[in-house]
Amino acid sequence: MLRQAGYADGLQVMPEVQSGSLQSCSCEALQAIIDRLCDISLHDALTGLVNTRYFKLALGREVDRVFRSGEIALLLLIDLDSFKEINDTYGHLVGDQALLTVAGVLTKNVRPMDTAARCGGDEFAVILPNCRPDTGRLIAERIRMQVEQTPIALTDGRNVRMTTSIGGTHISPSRKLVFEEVLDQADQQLYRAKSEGRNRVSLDVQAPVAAPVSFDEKSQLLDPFGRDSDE
Amino acid sequence: MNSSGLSARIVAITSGKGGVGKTFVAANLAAALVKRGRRVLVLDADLGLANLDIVLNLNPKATLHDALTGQCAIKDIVLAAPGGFWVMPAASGLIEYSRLTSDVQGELRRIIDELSGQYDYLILDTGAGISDLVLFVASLAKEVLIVATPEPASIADAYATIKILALMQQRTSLNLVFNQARNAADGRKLTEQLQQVVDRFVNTQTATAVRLVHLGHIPGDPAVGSAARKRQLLFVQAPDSPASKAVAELAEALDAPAKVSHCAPQ
Ligand SMILES: Nc1ncnc2c1ncn2[C@@H]1O[C@H](COP(=O)(O)OP(=O)(O)OP(=O)(O)O)[C@@H](O)[C@H]1O
Ligand SMILES: [Mg+2]
Repeated sequence: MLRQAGYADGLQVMPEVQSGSLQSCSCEALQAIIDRLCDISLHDALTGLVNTRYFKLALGREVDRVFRSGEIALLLLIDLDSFKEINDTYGHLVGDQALLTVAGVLTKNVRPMDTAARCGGDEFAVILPNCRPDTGRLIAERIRMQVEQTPIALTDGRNVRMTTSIGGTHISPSRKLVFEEVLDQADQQLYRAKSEGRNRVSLDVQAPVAAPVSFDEKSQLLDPFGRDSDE
Repeated sequence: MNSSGLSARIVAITSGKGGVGKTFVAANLAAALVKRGRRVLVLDADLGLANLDIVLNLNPKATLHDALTGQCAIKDIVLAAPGGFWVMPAASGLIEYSRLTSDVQGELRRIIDELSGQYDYLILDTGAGISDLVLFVASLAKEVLIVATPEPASIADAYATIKILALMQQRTSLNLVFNQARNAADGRKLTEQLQQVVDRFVNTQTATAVRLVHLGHIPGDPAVGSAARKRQLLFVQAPDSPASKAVAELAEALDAPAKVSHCAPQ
């Protein structure tokens, strides 16, 4: 299992907290406990991803940063399709594994500067600072494909397949929005992905031509041909 | 993978520039692969201006479009072509299919998945250009074969296609075929030249470098035109013509396991 030790059992790894013997702790030890508690309060116990509270702080910061830096960011909302059915059919342990699978795929596909969060239930989010529209679609598609290609193996040999719907909005300096509006726009795209049949990505900005060919490239490409062909 | 567990090698044929010989290569390569004992189906993925049926002198009663709309079963559409391969024809002039919708995406994916259980090779003949439809069809194929001619406009378009496939589909290997090339050396030189520009401007932007594989060349051959005017397949009608021989070599290069270039999109 992907479960990251510590988050689910966070309080148990700190016997001082449980036994109430905090008075006997050194300053450093107290600081470590405070850090640990902060950490626990900002992470999701099951997946180890950051939780909604952290996500909202991070999104607020990113919206501000976009206007200062001028760099476009992307917000993706990722929803596990038919999560309730998986839970009802196979039990909540398999449901948990499904969530861990999505969390694993997200972790594998984000850069250190990105934020992957579990926003409760079967909803996840990723904030991608400085993300060009064409790259954003690529990452979203990759996440969708990898979840689809990572079924859960049951003990009886059967596989449970999962899919995700992904909605995304670009946070661009040209439209000043507060973070609730950004979240709302991403939510609308997620709704679109769901209503168009699930297992798909819907982003709000059409990706521009992904790979413009510069004059430099063309001249390097063609110059030698012109010379050679007359030989 | 499909329910039968078998899976065809899926090869998309594309070029950027139109009229460079994609359909010619698709049909004749298919016949050459059949001669090597393979079961081959060519799917006309030029959904806007399909004409594989014309080239092969077929008279389809139903087309891919009937499968896309669910009006026909796939087995009722597939036709036998001269040369021993099978064809999934498409209708022409349906402007709504020159645009890619998510329904068309899903249906195409389903059809190709179903077909891949029944053949050794699925060859996808795409239309000209780099529309989202062409790129989507390419994304369904594990291998891509880019057809170019030595003409500058064709080289430039082949390069743009390579760049997009590398950046958007994370291809690590792409096959090149030079049509209307004087000889193999010319084709190789053009491939090397393309590789140099790719190394400098594309491979610096990708996680894994794209490698171009020179799969072969086909000479310009008057036999091609005369077979086309009779609506016959060159590989059947003039098997000893220079172009037919070149196509046979191309089939060998593709079919020989050592030279295979697998370039799955991630
Ligand atoms: N090696 C060759 N020698 C002579 N003529 C050729 C050769 N290859 C192709 N042609 C001719 O070039 C024309 C265009 O070929 P074809 O239709 O296969 O191109 P295409 O790339 O499929 O075009 P489109 O982009 O319109 O689909 C045809 O008339 C064909 O007969
Ligand atoms: Mg054609």
